[in-house]
Amino acid sequence: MSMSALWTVIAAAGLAGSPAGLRTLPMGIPSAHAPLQWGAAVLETLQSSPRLEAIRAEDVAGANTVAVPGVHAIAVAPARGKLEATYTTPAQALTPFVRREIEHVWRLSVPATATGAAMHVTATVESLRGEPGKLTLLGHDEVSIPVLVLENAPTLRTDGTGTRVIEGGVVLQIPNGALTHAGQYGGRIILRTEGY
Amino acid sequence: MSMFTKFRMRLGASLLLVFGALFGSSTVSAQNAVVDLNVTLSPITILYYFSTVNVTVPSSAMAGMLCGSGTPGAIYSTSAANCDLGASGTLTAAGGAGGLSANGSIGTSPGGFNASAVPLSLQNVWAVRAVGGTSANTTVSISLGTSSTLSLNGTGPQTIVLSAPLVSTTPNVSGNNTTAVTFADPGLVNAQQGNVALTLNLSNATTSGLYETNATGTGASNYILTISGT
Repeated sequence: MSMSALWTVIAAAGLAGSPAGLRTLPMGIPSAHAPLQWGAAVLETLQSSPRLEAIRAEDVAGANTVAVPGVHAIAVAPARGKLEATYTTPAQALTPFVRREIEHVWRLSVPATATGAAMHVTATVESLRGEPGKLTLLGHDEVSIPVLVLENAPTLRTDGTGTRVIEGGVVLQIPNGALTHAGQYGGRIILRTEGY
Repeated sequence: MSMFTKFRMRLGASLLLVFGALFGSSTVSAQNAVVDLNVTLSPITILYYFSTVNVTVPSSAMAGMLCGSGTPGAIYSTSAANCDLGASGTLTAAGGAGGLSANGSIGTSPGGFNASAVPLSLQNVWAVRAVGGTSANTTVSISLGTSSTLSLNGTGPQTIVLSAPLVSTTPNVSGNNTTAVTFADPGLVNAQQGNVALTLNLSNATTSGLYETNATGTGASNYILTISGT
């Protein structure tokens, strides 16, 4: 390293000891002693206990009575003095899963000075017993249902101070085949910041 | 400490600061947050049924049914059938001027068949998916609808009269073949399938053809399924 290069570094490092407010190094790193910790993004939840619409027959079959158009069968006489006609079942296939969307679950505020290139928030679900990807039937801990968490595409805006504000939600996807016990299921959405 | 050494130390501090900015921040600012989640699964009961049920009774089935206690047989290449009622038993002939005569007493209901009360079973014409409710069971009951008479082409004087509706399930459960059958909630994956039995009075069905409530073939209510215990 040449001496001229060394002097450049020394001059830049000298700024770190400055008692002045937020100042930025040439490379965009906030200086020490700034009012905000440099690089610190703030994650907050926008809902502490979101209300979800209950899962009903309409979610799995469209209605609680399903009329199937006319069918035809040819009768046989399985026994003397008796007629019998057999049809294929009128039971229709269920929708494969129930979805519940929860908008505006979290907000991540990223100072303008932060440099993370791929910062994001991940969401997972765990049951009241801590089982990942499940919700527990209240009062019956042994009963749980699997829940897949899909992340909604977050929205991004920049406020007047240059802080990037990212807000996101989740979509819960519950397989209908797992719905064997009516009742209230509980758990937690765990939000984590990653990537910076 | 030489100037050069001093420079080197400050250089080291600067690098430490830079590395802290690049790598230290992720540790400092990584955060977790928790949101309580509650999902309610309401009791769900779904009844599937056919809105119109069409049955064709072919000659072979009619022959088998009409033969009663006899043995039905087809007559090759025809829609006709025969019915072997077995041995007639010992007949005693009576003689007269015209010859001998013996009465086999075949009667008006050969084989014991009663055309006024023919049981017709419609298999798998309803199904139920159920979870939860006021009990862990579901009950399906049946009654006659507003129209219990089917007429030839919906208008003719020839009729088939429906009566005695019953319900049953497969496999059999308590209450099968009564007006109400009760079974454990089957859940949502595998539906409980069910059957309907009706008694047909064919006494006045003297002409082959289509028997229906009205000429349109729609809008009739011949039997009603009711679901409860949900």
